[in-house]
Amino acid sequence: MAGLAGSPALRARLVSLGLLPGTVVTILRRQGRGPLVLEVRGSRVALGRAVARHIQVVPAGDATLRRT
Amino acid sequence: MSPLITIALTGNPNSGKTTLFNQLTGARQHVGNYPGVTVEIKEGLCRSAAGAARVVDLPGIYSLTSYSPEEQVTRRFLLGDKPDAVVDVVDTSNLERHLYLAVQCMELGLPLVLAFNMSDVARARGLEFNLLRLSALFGVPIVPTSGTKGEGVPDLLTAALAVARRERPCAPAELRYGRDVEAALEQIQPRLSADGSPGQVSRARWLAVKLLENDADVWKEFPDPALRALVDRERAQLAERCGDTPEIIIADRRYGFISGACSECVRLTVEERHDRSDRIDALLIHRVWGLPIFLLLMYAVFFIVFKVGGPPTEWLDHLFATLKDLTRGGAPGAGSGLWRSLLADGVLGGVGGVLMFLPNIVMLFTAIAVLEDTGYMARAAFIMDRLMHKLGLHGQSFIPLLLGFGCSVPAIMATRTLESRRDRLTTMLIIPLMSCGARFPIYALIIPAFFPAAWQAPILWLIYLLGIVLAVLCARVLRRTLFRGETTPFVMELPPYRRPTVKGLALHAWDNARHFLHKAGTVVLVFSLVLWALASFPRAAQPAGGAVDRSATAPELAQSYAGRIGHALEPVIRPMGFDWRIGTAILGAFAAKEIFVAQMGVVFSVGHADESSEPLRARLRELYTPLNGLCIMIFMLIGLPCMATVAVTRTESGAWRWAALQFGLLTGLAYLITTLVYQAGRLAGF
Repeated sequence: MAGLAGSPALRARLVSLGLLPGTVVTILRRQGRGPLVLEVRGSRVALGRAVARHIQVVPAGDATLRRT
Repeated sequence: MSPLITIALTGNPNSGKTTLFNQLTGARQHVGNYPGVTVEIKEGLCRSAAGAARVVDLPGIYSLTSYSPEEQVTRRFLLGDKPDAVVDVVDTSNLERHLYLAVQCMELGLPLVLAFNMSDVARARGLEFNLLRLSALFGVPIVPTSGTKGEGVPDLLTAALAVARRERPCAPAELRYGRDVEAALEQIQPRLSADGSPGQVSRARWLAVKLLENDADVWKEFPDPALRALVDRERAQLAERCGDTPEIIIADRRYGFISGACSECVRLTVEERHDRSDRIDALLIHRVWGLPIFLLLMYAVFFIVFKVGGPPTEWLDHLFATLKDLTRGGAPGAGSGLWRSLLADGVLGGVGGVLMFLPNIVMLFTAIAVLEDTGYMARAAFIMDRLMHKLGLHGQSFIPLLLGFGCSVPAIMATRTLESRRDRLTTMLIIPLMSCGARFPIYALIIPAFFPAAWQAPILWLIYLLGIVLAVLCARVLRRTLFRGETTPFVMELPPYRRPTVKGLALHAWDNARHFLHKAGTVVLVFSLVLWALASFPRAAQPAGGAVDRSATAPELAQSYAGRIGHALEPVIRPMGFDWRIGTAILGAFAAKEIFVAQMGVVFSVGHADESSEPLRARLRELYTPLNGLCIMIFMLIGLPCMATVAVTRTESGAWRWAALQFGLLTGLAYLITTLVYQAGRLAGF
């Protein structure tokens, strides 16, 4: 994950579920224009498309963006 | 004797916190709403050899920000009520994510104990924890527990009591946020502590962190513009230096602390536990099969609620009918007729008419508890999200709306699962448009009276459809006017599937049953008595004693206040084609929709009436046209939510004005549409 946009409330919610820049996420399920299921820090999180738009990702392994 | 020790339970949703709470307190619990919000806090008493304590179950949260009411309530309790010990329940099979809340409790410097829950599951998966080292890193005691098996619960209680009595050291570690953030904290912190006492300093540090995170609740405590300017400057500087907002930088440090602790103290990662859940999900949220399976499960819920809950409901109905007859009969005595009628028609007729649905309610909430405790509910919301999104609602609104076809009361109670208040209120307001079971007798009386057999099913279908279409339209209008704002983002954890425990289900069902009983004993009772009085006064000449005093007869009812109100209403309801008789019956329908049928029977003095009463239908045909019949159904479908609905909307929304809005809006809409239909029908020559 490279970036996080959206309202402060939305960002706080995503962060509390473990979604913040530098986190490695895996998309487990995507259905057309419907919600996504992500794997984040060992848990499963469902995101609506409107939310997913606020998350910027780059392919994992791009070491320059990993902050850990 | 020392005062009773208070232990607060916190934890993420799905951490097994409630199960642990049930293990600690058994059935000795009671529910209280925190003042001002409708978030429930349960508390119970807990006794053991180590001592007694009051245990408070705080709402499940992911974080200690102040964006959701649950978070606000938890924070206010932890800071304001100052519990003697705080137990944070952590799901050890999802340790990293669950420790995020634990770290925030640690930052608060509270007398904290971590319950490493589901440790049996974690152990079975080959996870090993160095609890001593983890405990040292966090600076607080850690107790492994298993809520479902009850393992470790006495140890947890002992540890919490020891911490509360300061017999066991508990010095939550101080989290360092990195050079840039620490520099900013140093600037802000001195402005927040009045003196230099250690307690003050650690509290000031926490406040400074929260101000850097731009926490609205903490800002309310410090309306100082100079401080605001300082913090804004520091925030801007941090954002510039670190390339992200302070909230994210600070959260990143928390997660950094956690992954550091985990890599040091946990062996084997936590991937396997999702294998089974992922396999189940492959089917249950499949893009093709997900929806049919969901619909099938929903059908099963309805089936259980009405088929299994049906017979006991009928028994209760008979029981109340028998009690009513017994009350009315017995030794005739002058003057006692009024009291008998009060008991029979007012109390038993009103409260009994609502209480008889108790078995349905219990079945319904047990079914919902199964769906919730297994983890399916989050999947159902996931499946319905796309459709509900188009209505401006959240996927989770679907379940309450569906339940509305059974009864609005449990449906409105089920909106509790919705996190956003806007969504919750919108859903609550449109639920009565789902044609509930109590309206069915009205359709069942009227449709065969006026329409040929071939038309009956399509007309019934049209009535239900009208309700759904109006609900959709209302939701869209409400979301564009009163509850305007971004649609709540759909962000939800999909917890791993779990087997629910019998104890958990039973407690869940009992909880809701108790709510319902309480309501029947208070609000419904009062409304019933008012309606009874309206229909019984002023009394006509006492009928000659001896005869069984059936409920009011036609001339009596016409004379009563209810009858007079019916007459007074006539000019108002005339445009819909209703006369005073229908007006009187509508008044009765406010108690419960099905009373409309009984009330029509009284008005036409055909004695006992139910929906299959042929003499009543014949009388209806004499007086009214099919258009009248249709208008009655439309009005009863849309308008006049029954008093149980009004009462539950009031309790669930926390304010009378929402109940009043719901009542006014729907009745106004009903009036408008019914008038349009009637007048258009008349013009078309029906």
